[in-house]
Amino acid sequence: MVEFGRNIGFPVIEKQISIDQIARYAEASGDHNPLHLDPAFASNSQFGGVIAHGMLTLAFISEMLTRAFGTSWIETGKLKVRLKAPAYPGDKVSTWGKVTKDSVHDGTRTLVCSVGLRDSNGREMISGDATLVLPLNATG
Amino acid sequence: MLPTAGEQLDLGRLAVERAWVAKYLEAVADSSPIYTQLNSAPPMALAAHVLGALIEKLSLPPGTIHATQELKCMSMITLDQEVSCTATLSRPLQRGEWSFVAARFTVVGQGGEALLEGKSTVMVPHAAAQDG
Repeated sequence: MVEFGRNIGFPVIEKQISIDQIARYAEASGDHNPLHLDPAFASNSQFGGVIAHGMLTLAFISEMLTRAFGTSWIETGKLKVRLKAPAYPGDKVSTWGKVTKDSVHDGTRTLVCSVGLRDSNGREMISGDATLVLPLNATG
Repeated sequence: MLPTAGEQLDLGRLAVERAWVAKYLEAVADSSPIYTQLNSAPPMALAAHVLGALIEKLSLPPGTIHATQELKCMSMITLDQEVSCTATLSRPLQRGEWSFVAARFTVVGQGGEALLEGKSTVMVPHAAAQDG
């Protein structure tokens, strides 16, 4: 059985990127690339200034999936995304998600979702697919 | 100089402790209570650690950009364990002024169980890679 477009509510995670957050993320992740931390270096790059780590912005999508699906996400989730555009300090970003495939097979319910992150101008920064397994009695 | 394709890299061990998880969650501004409730770590925290370790291990040049990310969560990552991280590199692809370097990684728990797998692709500035 395959059903499309089930009305599963994805919470919208909204964040504003800041220089302080990028610095904290560099410390937490160990990624000290000067593109994220050194304004002089970054100003000479194709980005023209420091940008947030891709994994920092991807964490917002993971937060959305965790809030939507709980342990199903952190135990069975798969994610495949492209990082399409950078986030700059000051950018306001928000997540989005929708179910594109909802199937039950051999006693297992599997959801495939399109997920992404965009800025306040609608610019797509990350997009891709998430897949996870839900308990059969989960509502959607 | 870019690494050899197929080369397996030991990215070391990581103590998954409450303070480390708290530092990560604070950095990404994630207040989800589930990790505290379940004494667990976000899969993305380990993926972030792996990417940071990979960049350091490979001495990737400044200006390297993260292009794509895949992640497969295989089990809950409980606190107070030491996990091991390894990665295998693909053959770099040259596209204009960039080299695309992909690494498949695995995070294994202290009991030997696979916790997380994934693939990170980064774009390395070609001139910097040749110099480096």
